[in-house]
Amino acid sequence: MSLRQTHITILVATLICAPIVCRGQMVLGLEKDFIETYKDKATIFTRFHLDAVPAHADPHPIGEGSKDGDIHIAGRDSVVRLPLVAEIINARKEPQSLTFLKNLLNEGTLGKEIDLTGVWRIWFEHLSKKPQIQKKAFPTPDDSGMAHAFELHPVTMFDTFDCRDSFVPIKSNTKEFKAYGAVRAFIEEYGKLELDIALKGSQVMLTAGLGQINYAEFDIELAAKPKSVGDGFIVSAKVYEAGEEDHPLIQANRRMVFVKDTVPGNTVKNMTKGERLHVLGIPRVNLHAVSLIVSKLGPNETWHGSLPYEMIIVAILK
Amino acid sequence: MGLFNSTVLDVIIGLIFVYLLLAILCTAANEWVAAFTRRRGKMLRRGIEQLLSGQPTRNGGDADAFLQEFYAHPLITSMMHDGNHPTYISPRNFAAVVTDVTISLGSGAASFDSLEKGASQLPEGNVRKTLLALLQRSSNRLDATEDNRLEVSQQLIEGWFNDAMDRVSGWYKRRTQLWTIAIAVALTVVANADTVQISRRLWVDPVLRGEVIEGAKARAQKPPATIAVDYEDDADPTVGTVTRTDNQGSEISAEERQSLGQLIGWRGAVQNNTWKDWGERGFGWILTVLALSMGAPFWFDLLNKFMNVRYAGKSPDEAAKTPKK
Repeated sequence: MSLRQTHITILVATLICAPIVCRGQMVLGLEKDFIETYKDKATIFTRFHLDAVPAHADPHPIGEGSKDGDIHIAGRDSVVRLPLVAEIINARKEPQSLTFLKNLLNEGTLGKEIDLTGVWRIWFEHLSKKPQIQKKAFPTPDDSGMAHAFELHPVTMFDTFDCRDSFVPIKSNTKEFKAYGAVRAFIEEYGKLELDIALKGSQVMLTAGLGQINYAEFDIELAAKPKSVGDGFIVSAKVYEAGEEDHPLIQANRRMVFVKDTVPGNTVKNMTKGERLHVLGIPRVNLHAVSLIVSKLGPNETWHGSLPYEMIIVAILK
Repeated sequence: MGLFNSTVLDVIIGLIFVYLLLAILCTAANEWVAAFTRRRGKMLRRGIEQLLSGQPTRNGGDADAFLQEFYAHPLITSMMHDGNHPTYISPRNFAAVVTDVTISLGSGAASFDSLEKGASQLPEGNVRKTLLALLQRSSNRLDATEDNRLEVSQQLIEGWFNDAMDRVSGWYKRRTQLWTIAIAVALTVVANADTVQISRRLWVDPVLRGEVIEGAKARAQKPPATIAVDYEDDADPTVGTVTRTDNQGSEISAEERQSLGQLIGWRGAVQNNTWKDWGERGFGWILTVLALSMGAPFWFDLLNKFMNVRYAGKSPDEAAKTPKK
């Protein structure tokens, strides 16, 4: 290859690599007041308008990765006011909720409004090309797998049905869900995600790329007694690979969020510093950290850094 | 020779490093121009004029009287420095001043009714139309009560201001981008930052290439300015501390200036004066200007990614995986 050809190749390679290394991104806009209200809460209670469910109201099968046994329900609500997906975990353990959804489908009465409580979760797993901004109008959801960043996942109360008993290991009679290992989740995925935070009037704009991993299996060692936040508990904890005793996987402690009156919540509430749990968890953006960053941002300033996250503990594993 | 052997990778990294340094210089120059021309303040003024101009305060009066009242308000005059327009007005302050001016043109203490009265007493104009529409909307809000109607109205006025600020941000970004390109062209030509020549020098000189890679490595390790959050009190994970760290990335060190000096410049270039040489130089300049228009943060991110590839990809933020027992 001649020198000139080499030059051209190098330049083309540089220009081609640039878009490859820059993943697609999504913008989510949240009201500052909303962040302040929910940053240290586990759940949100809302009036939810059911718009879309999977065909036959069937949950995901149980296996690994996306075969997590959840059922997704897309809709609109009165509090979050964003494209919203509610997810019942271990959905097969909630036959009343499934029957309720199947009846709606059979009767053609999807569009009903119900009371819904669930763990609020912001995670950029289903990127939208268009920004999603709180209180701004958006098309009526017509697909339970629609692009979204805001979820109520897991659901704790679905209409009058109590789903808190679904916070257990995900398994059927014949299969057990296999979550991602701690190294794959925390080191190779969560730790590499990045977030931009900017202020736009009374709104906080979060811009992030794709976050692919949901369920992770790992051990935690409590750094202190859990703090009650009304609807749950938040505790700082070290993260370990499952079975690892001496070397934490990440340097900084992480906030762990437990829901009141669930098996994980009832287990952790009386635990103390140094005690350990083997858990199944899913990440969400740490809005408390976002709030702190926003408090220091100037009007035309964008913060860029590692995406601050905390873990929702959905099950205690043996 | 494979495409991605270490020489090719090093030349790519060297090129990215040069683009980063030149982009930092462009940013600094752009900031200086923005401050000198008071770009931010002027854009903000233009946005506010779009909202509040064309509104007299009495029949037959000056068409921009409302705007003048706005700028005469103590809240706004206190933000002026040496008669220069402030670079930032909060939505809350904007709404407070508009409310105050409207109410004072009517009569009575601050209340929803006096705001509505003041707005309806204004002569026909943009502000009157908008305010009455916002006040109507506030009355229709489900969360509006007798006690909070004024506050709801002010929130809607803040929203009106925020929408205008979206436009102002767009104008500011476009103007900044134009200046960035203009500065990039000037810097590229004056310094003869010819991409083709830079990559040729990196390719043929392994010693120079090695020095540049060391400079790139040191630069990639410099933490950018940031806001850091810490949860120091394990007993209360709802209490965190937030601090600003210094910006170590916006200046160019003496070693980096030396590396840059060896890669750009007119040294020896004046001997190459054929049309072909100027054509190649022009092409190289165009590539450099295009690169600089992407901005320093883009090249800093790309530098980190390529350095990770070169040094076998450890994330700098997480501890290394410890070996299993």
